[in-house]
Amino acid sequence: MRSAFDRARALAALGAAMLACAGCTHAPCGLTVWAIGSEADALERMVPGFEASHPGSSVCVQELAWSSAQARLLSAVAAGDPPDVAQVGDTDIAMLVTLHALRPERHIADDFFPGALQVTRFDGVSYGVPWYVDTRLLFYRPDILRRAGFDRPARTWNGWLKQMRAVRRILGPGQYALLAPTNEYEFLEVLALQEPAPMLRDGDRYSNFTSTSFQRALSFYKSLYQGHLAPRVDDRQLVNLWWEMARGDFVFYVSGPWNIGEFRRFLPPRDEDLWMTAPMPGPDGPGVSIIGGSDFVVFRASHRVRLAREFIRYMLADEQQVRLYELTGDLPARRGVWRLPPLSTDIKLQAFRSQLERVRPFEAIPEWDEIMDGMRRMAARVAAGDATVRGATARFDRTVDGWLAKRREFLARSRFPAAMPPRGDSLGAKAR
Amino acid sequence: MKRKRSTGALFVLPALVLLAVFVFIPLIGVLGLSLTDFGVYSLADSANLHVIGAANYWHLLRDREAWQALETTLVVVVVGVPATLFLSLVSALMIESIAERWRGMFRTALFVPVVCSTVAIAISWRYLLNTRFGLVNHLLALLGLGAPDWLGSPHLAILAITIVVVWKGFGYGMIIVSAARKEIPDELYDAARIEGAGVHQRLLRITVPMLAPTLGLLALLDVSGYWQLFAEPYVLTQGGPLGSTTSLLLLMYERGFRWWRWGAASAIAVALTAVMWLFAWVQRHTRAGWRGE
Repeated sequence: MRSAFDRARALAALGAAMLACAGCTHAPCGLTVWAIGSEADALERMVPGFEASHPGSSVCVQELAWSSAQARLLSAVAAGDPPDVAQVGDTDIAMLVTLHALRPERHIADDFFPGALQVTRFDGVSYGVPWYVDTRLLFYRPDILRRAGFDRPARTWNGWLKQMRAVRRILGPGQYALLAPTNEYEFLEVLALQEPAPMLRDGDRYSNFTSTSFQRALSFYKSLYQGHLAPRVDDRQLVNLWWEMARGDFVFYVSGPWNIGEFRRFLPPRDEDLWMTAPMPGPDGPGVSIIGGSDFVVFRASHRVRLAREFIRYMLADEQQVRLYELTGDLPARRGVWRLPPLSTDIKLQAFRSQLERVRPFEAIPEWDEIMDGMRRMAARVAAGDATVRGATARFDRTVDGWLAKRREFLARSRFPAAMPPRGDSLGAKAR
Repeated sequence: MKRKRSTGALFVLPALVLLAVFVFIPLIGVLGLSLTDFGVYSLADSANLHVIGAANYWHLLRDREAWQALETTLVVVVVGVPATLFLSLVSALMIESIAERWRGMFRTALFVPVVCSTVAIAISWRYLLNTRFGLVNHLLALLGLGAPDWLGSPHLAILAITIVVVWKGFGYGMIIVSAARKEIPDELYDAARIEGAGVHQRLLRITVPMLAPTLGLLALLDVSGYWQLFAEPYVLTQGGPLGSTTSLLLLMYERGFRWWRWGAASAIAVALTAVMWLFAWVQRHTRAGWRGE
């Protein structure tokens, strides 16, 4: 009995020693930065430059996956152990702000795209620094469009529809005028944002998907699939969409800036003229698009705020913004950087440059991703002919109202009148 | 004697502690969470946390997506488990009937899917099932059949998921059945042969009844495994098209870990556990009936 007890105690002591030592192998990190996917790789390559210009500093970059980044950040905040700085997708900021996890940001530069800045702002206070931006627009086949009798993509929905119908006539079987994968919500989000009425109303307290605005956008969306202008496929069903696009299987493709790099990676240089970019058409003229991208945030729990801000400032300098573009294809969040090559010289980037000036920010609330995902599923039913525009939006309205119940209660409890999460009490004082 | 018992308890203790920390306590926690509206706002301010009783369950009962997920999962269980058992049995018996030196090769080939990573398998099947370039449709075309849109059509997608799940799972049952088959004494077959029993009679009167306990165990394992269907639809279809391949576990994952509605997600977890218990109970009682025969 006794010997067994002693053995157990020895084991326990050994275990405790191992636990205690788990922390002792780490190299000391002056600054811990969490970044996501390829941006983490790029950041790691740029860190030596920062360390060299800030003697004595050491930065540890930890890589998260896009699919789990939000969960990791949330658990870190819940456990009270977040990093100093993190890259956060800009639809995820609202959640962290709701949790009082972030420090208000200071002024870093004058020339951010206004849309990118706006989605980091809550109750007039900015909680993130835009790092790179993202939007959606048209990739298209100029040669096929010319054969159909048009020298450039239309600027209005009607003109675009006419072009797609004309193009459809000269395409073969199994070829389509448009590729807009049904597993992405962004295309419909763009269409909805182009309409005047917002998707949520009363300070984002209630759903507004039964508005005539949204119904018009959804009807247009539906007509593209029902009229066989676009196939109802999700992009995982495509083997190599760049190759398929070069073959002429699709003439228009609504997508984002990373595809510039992907087209060049998958197609030989001689095919460079087979694809081009153009801003989104709108209901009655050049249309708005969405704003996306990532921001740098500094956590309230961080004790290294000064170094964190210097780090962010360094990464937003011209040189690093261009470097980030070269490493990842991410578009600079600062307009000034666009005057520098290769951003100023790449002809395919110019549509992005002008589209980024014409964006309409999403509603920055924690539920936005869920609402957009629900909208995508609802729209897929409508596009498949399983539900009518009127019926589906009415039902979806009730669903979203249910999702927002907790938010309404939260806003009613807080003293803040607007659709903004309240700030922590000591926050303002600490931020000085 | 007493000393021995306490030593034994000491050996069991680590396992018990691990079970308690990682299974029992979370289980009670989930049950508790399912009675609340815990979510991001509650994390921000505990004043936003309410005990709402059975409201999550009540919502679940009226939630079309939850019923659809139950139906989807049920289809995979009801179609997949018998198919897996049948294939396990048939492949085990067939492998025995082929020449000794080829057996190992066939057994390995059929067992490989079991040990492969589910994600790798799902990705491979995504290519195989591709509508335009997939091998499956290529073979169908050679037979003069149409080219179905396996992962794009709601009815076919759930069938495709079931096929993948069964294909991945039956090799395990085959190994177990093979082992059990070797335990059946040859004397039984010899006696039957002398009595004039044919191949079919021997199969139905000796092999299958003798394997019944093994098959029953496999059924129990498969049922509990298939109820927890997650990785295949997560990788192959992300629950689509039109929600037709969203299993209960996938729905729970989405609500809990994508949309941070932990209260509602916990209710799904508890409901799933209840359904699985119900199934196991029914199964146990029907098996008891079998044995009494």
